[in-house]
Amino acid sequence: METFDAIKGRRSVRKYTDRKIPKERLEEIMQAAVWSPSGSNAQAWEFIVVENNDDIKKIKTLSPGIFGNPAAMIIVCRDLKRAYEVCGELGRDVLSLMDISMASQNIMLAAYDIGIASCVVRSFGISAVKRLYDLPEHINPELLITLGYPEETPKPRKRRGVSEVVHWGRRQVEG
Amino acid sequence: MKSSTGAEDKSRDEFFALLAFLVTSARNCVEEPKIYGPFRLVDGASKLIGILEEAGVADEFFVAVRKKIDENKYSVMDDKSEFIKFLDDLTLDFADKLKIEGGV
Repeated sequence: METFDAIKGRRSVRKYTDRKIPKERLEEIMQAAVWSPSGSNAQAWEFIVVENNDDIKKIKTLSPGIFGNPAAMIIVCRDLKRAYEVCGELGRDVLSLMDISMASQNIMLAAYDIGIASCVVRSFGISAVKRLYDLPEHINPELLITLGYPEETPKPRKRRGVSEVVHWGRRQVEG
Repeated sequence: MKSSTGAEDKSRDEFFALLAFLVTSARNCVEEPKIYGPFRLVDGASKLIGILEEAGVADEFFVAVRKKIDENKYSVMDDKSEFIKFLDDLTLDFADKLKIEGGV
């Protein structure tokens, strides 16, 4: 698949089939995550891949933003200690958030490329998931990415056009 | 001690999930967009009706409400005015139901 087709074709899917995702597919997707760019090459991220249905159900119970029954889930975490060690407060407070966001997009595009749908979720009990997984203080879950084979793919949502948000050379609108 | 049946365990699990949904929603609503509050409430209503359906105690009206919620709730992400109209319509459904049943 062409990169641009993946970028334009990916949707946030909230209805999945029961089909499980083969392990090698998930490994492929996670390769895309670790090849994401990061500020000062800090790579201050960790990913917990959850495939077990009981564990998925537990996370879903603590996540108002998850709809449908995903086949797998990725808990995208920031490593605050590593981010601080590499890039100080800027790394810990700003760059690490940007970095996991870019890694998440890589994950979703790589998944889409092999026919696996996804939805990124921030509406979950962050402290509760941290407790559920006994994560240390410096490992912070920030996003959940649900994965699965799509049962229903939503139509594209409205986009602000290039002419509205892109300025060539300099910004020339008021406000 | 009274021993629980499989059906009781299932109900307990379903209510546990609903309560966890309500509690985590309450926490997240502190920071989330204001419109997500109504969204979580109405989604919670749908989940409650789902439990009643599983238990065989949801009537046609409840089932219709649940279907209406599930078909329209995602409008919150695209069109706020459409979402608010859907909520208005839902409240009117309850008013109509009360009028049909009398007593007001």
